[in-house]
Amino acid sequence: MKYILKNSGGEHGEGGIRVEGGNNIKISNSEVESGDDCFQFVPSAAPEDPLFNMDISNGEYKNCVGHSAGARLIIVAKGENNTCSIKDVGFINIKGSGGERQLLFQDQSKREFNTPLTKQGGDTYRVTKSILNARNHPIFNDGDQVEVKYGNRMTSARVSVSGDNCTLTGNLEGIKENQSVILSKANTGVIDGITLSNFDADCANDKKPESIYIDNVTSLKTENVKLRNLKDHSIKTVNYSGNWAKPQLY
Amino acid sequence: MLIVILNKTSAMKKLNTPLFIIICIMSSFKAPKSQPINNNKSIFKINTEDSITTSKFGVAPTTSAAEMEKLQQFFDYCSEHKVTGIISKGNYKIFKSILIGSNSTIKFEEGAKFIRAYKAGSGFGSSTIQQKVKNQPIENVKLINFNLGLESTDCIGRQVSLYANHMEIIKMNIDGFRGAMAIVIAGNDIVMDEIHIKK
Repeated sequence: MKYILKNSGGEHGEGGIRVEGGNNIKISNSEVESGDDCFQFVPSAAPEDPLFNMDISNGEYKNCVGHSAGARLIIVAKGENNTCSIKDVGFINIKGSGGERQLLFQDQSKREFNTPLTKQGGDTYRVTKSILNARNHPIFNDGDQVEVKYGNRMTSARVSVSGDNCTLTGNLEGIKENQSVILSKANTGVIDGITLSNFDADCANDKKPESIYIDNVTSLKTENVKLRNLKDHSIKTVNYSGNWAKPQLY
Repeated sequence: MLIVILNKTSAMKKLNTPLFIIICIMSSFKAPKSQPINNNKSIFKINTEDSITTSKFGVAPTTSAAEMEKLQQFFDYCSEHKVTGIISKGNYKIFKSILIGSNSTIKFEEGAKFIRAYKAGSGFGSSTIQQKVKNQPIENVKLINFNLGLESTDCIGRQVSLYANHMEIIKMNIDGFRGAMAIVIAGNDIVMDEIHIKK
């Protein structure tokens, strides 16, 4: 029993299987060749999409082989507009290769900023306006309530944007100069509980410097992760301090 | 398996022991006609008595958008009557999305194929196969042996986009996909297996 997904061989924008939402979704014995990401748990981030921002839970890709010419072998990701959650998804017995990273687990709805917040007086802090924007469109707008995480502390604040001025108003007690701050929209969901077991990826044709990229994932269970032909600096984790089994390198 | 519990027989009364008789009816057992049998049709069961082919329905392999309307009517009929639809052997050119409704079980015969013959983006209404309702999931869908291809490399767009609960997709073959995702799914309780998609 196999899924065999083949496309035009490297043309971008063509992905394999994308799970955009729902609960209890099992996909097995699959073989994918695609230009874009092969096996995906990725909610729609387009507000005009009927399936926009759906939660995903209890999903699994099992016994799959994939080859992506221009993107990731496996991906779990939330876009900047997503407030939904992705919980308890797994990749079991996955082999193959990605053209730009082997795996990406990323929550883009939570942004990490390593920039000084200048105290303006009271509980208001000035922030660099540009940090509230990514790829030329705003993540946070004037009036947004945001969650602010720094160190071990989580608090809330309000974004104010006026001209070139941008401030955060909230109790940011104890924040230090240049301290890394994670901002997310209030009540934003999480990516929590990814299982990665028996993952075997070949990084030989990987064009990205970080073949494994983990960004704002709450918990991750890994077992028997193998990376072949891994280049230097090929693992990057952002805001993830949990335990995980480091890959075996070949 | 049928379990029947009887009261004590006179003989057993003498023994002062309750009697439990378990009768196992094997699948080969044929119930008398007068005995009612569960008539609930399982939409996940291929039963020739509950199926209809496209040829019997009057759908020939399609070469035009007008002919394709009849194919859509076939899908609608199978959904409304909860019968298994069997796509007869042949190539069916698809000029706009085939819409699948709830309670659909559709099976392709060997040699049957849908050939996408139009170009579209990736939004709702562009996929070769998609659910009938835009913002709500359909329910109880089983697709077997689906065989999808492209008329030419210009016929870009998603092949499958389904928002459905209780769905099985078994042995789907996608022969090429261009410019969009091959398969996009959402819903609860979904199993996908044995799907083959080739360039």
